[in-house]
Amino acid sequence: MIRNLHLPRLSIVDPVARLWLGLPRWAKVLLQLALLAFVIWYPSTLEPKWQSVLFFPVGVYILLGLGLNVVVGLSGMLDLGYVAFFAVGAYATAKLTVDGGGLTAWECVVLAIIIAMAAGVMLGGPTLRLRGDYLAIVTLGFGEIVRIVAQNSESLGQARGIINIPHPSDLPLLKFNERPLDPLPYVYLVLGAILVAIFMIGRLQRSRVGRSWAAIREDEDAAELMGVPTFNMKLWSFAIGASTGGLGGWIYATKVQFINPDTFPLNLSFLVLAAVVLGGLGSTAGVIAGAFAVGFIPEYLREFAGGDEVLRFLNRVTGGEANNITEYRFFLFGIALIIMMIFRPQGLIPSRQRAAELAEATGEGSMGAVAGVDEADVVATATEVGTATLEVPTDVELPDDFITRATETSEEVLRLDGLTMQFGGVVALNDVSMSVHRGEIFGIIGPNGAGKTTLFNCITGVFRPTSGAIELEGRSLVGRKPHKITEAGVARTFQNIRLFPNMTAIDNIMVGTDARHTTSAPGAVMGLPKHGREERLGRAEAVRLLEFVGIPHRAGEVARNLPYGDQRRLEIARAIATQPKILLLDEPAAGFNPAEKQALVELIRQICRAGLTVVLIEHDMEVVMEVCHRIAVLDFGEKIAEGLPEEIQTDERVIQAYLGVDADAP
Amino acid sequence: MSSRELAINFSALVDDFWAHTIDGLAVGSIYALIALGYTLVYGVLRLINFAHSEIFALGIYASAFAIHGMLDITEPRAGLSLVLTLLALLITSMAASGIAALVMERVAYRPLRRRNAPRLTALITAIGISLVVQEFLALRYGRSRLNPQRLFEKESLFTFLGEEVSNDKVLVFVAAIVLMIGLDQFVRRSRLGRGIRATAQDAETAQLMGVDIDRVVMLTFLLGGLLAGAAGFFFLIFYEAARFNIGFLPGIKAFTAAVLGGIGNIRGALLGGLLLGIMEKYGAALFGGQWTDVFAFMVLVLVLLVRPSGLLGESLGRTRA
Repeated sequence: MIRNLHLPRLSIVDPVARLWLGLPRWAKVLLQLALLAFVIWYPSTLEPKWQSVLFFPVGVYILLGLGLNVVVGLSGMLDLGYVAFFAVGAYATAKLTVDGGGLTAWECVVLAIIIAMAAGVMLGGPTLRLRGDYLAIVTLGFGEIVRIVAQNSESLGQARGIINIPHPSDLPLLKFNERPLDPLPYVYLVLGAILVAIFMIGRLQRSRVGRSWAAIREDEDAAELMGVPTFNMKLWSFAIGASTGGLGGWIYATKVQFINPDTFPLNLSFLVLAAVVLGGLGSTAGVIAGAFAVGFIPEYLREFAGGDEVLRFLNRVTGGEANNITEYRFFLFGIALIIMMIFRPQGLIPSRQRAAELAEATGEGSMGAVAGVDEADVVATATEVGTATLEVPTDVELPDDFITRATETSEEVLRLDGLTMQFGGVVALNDVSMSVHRGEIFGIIGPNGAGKTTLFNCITGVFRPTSGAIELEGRSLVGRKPHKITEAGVARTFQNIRLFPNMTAIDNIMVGTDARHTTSAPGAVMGLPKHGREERLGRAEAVRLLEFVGIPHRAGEVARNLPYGDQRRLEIARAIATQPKILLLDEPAAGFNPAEKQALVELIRQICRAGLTVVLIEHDMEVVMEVCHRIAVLDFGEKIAEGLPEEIQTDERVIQAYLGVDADAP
Repeated sequence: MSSRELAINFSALVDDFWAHTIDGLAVGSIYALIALGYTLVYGVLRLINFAHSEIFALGIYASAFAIHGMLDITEPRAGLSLVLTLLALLITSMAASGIAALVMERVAYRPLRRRNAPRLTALITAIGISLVVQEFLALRYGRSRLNPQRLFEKESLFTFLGEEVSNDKVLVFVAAIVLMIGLDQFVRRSRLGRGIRATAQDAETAQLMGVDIDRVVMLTFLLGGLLAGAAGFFFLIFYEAARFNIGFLPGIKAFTAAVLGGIGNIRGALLGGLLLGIMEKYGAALFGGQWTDVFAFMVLVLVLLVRPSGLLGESLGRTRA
């Protein structure tokens, strides 16, 4: 969502990030273990007061930040009412344990998580059709509604809240019920929750689910058209964010033992958001750093030398009368947010994707391919002239299963019958009928505004046609969702390239292969065998496809850094990855020079030879006439001709449409 | 303790139907004034200026400050002195909010605009601004509710359909309508207004045709700020209260109003504001006052889901993404 082009860099963080990425795997594991040992050992050396600070705000903020990061950072949906799920988790715990509930604290961990998750689904269900700012406002409203309901409901204690929530019973080594209360076990409790959250979210991120989230964040419409069930995936994102919040609520309630509506002010949502944004949207390390900054710095300044002077200075500036520096928390983080958005919108520790981009930009070696792809396989085979690759490796074939699937049924693949599309009074398509046969390259030409792209949009489910039938192998596509149509076997590219710009080339293609996979969030979290199999298969296919379109050396590069020609190729590879029965190419030669056009013609032929049926919209007559088996001509939304290339070239009406000769003129 | 759980009370609505309507119109006209700020900025920049509610809050505080700090009013006034006082306060509020809106645009939004930053960035900036302004007010004037001096005695002005209509409601309603008609005419007829409309339709082309985009944007923020300041002043007259976070709820309701009428549409903001004000009062009568705010949010969600382009459609700007 946030793109960092030519932004000033903070001098310390970026080199560290680059260093980290350059380390071999074993060194990373070792460092992580050392870090883990440190975070287990270090809190035990602190005074109880600081242990309490580590629990709240720091630990709880980190946990909430991780959950919010799933929604905002990974999926790109701005949720301003996140604290509501924290509240739901806490109130659920309170109700289940205190009055009427009678459960112990441990017994309701899972319940608190599930109830918060259900709240997430309840909010997400009706609102996830909204986007961007609108979603933000509605979630903000939801956060307030939860608070107002708690405030006004007798059963939730109204403004009094609920007291006497039990502590968790003791575990070996973790004595939760010491008197006076020992904060250290709770530090470990929240630490454990954080580690579990990091582990589970990390697994999701590296799965079909995580790629779907990234694709939605980058370009939701394109994601849906590439077969991502966007609504489902957004709902999962919401549910997982909410459940993390619910877990946070449980932890908080069982330690503090008392909650009321004031525990969950709206500003808490903003504070957690500030932590996520300051740290770096989408980055786990960033979230932790951000939460530390937001939770710890004010407490630190309150306690230590210099804090008083800072306080006096701030009081002078604002004319305030604060006697405690924590009162300036929101004020300062507000300023930090504004400054951050101006100078470093990607956050202190940008996500790995963005760190990779940074490293790339400074030429410190390629980030290497993606895990699982052997570098040796990805050696560049194509010759580069200028920025575009010209050669198509003719020896690379599509994997077998692509072909078998494409040739399994009847002759007529796609049939349009009386297709009409009206926008208000404008008739974009009028009674268009055509049928595309198995294995052919079918061209659609026509002047600008003839309705060619509208035709693609109708076929792929972007628009629902006003009337008429669209059938793929005899089954109607009308009224189905775009991702269902993609699943059924229709894939497309776009006139103006719509890759997922901040994802790597290989991940872009894997979004396409994911369209055929079914692993969902639970499977990915548990690491089921099916998930592993699908990942391996998808990655292998993606590598093959990169070779097939002639850009194997681009595997680990971020899509938006690719040269224009390679982006077009990548888009075609992504479409083929869905294993379509029919491939719709929308002006693939736009912006190409003659040599590139020739390479493209070669590629399209090869796709056809591999057994795929291709429908091609193209303005370039040379390309169309050279590659297409049959051609249909659209003009003002009507089909005015259909036939072999030679027939089209000599057709009166076509010539008139292109040259603008009036048929009735004398 | 009486039950405050949800219950529907039809008689409360039917018995005082016109009283609720009149209250609704007064509150609604305040929402409409704030809504115009959202609508103008959205129309031109396609940005929901989330911090607009704080511009409104600054208007309230400017009035309160003027009442106590500058004019030192200690008792209700009447006659010519009252008229002059009201005018002075209105101008103070409008000026304070207008300047604040300009500063906000200049300092926080313009750098983002220059970079063509995505909208999420702008939204986060707006949250930052909100925090800063709210906390500034809290630190300076405290976190508890303030009750400024009453400016004039509220009394019934005339009877309408058997309901007494008090002078403050008439003042708020009439003044708000006058200001909105003024704005509508300004945008429709003046040269600067044409610049705004041109930019709203196609910023790039407008720029090529010689429209100074920066000036148009500043003008848009200024106009929104002025009206929000006026709204703040009227709010203070009507509710006679201020708090550091007072902008939040009216702000989000005004946003609801803007969406209800069709964001980007000036007349839609008026219609949406009045409608929301009335619906809210009816809702409060039906379900109990404590649910008022929930009711407004429900309206917002429903409108966004059922008819996101609003009642009158989006006319200043293009269609929404």
